Amino acid sequence: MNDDAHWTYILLAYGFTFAIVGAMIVRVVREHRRLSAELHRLDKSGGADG
Amino acid sequence: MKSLLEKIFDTIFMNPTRFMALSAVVLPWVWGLASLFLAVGLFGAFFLVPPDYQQGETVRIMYIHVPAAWLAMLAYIVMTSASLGVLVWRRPLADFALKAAAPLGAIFTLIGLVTGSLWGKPMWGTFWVWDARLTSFLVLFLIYQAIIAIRQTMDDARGARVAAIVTLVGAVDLPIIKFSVDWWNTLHQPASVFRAGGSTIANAMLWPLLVMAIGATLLFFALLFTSLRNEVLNNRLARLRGQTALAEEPEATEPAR
Repeated sequence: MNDDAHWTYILLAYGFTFAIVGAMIVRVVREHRRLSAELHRLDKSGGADG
Repeated sequence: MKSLLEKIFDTIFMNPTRFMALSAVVLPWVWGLASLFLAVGLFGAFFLVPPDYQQGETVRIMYIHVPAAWLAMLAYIVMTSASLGVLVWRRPLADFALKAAAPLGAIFTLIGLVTGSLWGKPMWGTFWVWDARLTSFLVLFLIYQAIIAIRQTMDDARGARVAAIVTLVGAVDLPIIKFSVDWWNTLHQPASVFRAGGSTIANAMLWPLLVMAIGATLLFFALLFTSLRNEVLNNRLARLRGQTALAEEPEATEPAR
């Protein structure tokens, strides 16, 4: 098997890994921001009510 | 007298408020160090490591496949410890840790399976064989799916206990994965990094692998602790929403009285 064919497998492996790990990081961090913002908003509205 | 494991649990998992304060300070450092180690490791894997005399350039897949496989098992060890926290010590954050680690472990197992297949095709001539190492690793992926499904369908204390018991039973797969290459004849190569007699990998190829492994482990803990913070925040939000609903209830029901 020639080197070009090897590089196809290497790029597929790294491409898949970066895509899936990148998606996981974005999902977890966005969820954290959303929850923090919602908690902050609820805390503020609770404080205003009180 | 408390065991060391229990003391670690107490420090990290006993008090969600303490955990949130501690993780807020530590997490930026863990993210930063993970990025640094992964950048150095990837540079080494692509630009400093020579092609293998047998595998040629394809050996570069090792630098993501091996750390992913290690993390797939590390995530399960974390979950096994968390299961003890749920069943034995009844720590409030242990169930959150179990819930947070399961999807991460499943993803790293999937990466290990896919990159292994992509490495296997040019080296073995096939994407897949039903040998002991590959099959036991696929079983680990299925165990992760089962635990995730249990936690999603039974989102209560009973679900936490069932998931913890399934996790402890599934832990039997870890030594099978580790020693499968010694116990059976497999197409997968035997251990070549952590083995009696030292590593069989040349130093020029070994150091980027260890750097990548450290970077990937730091990334795993950064994701785990961020997910754990998400679980704590979700719990606080649910309680706040409950309090708000209770506070609003008399007003809503007053006309009916």
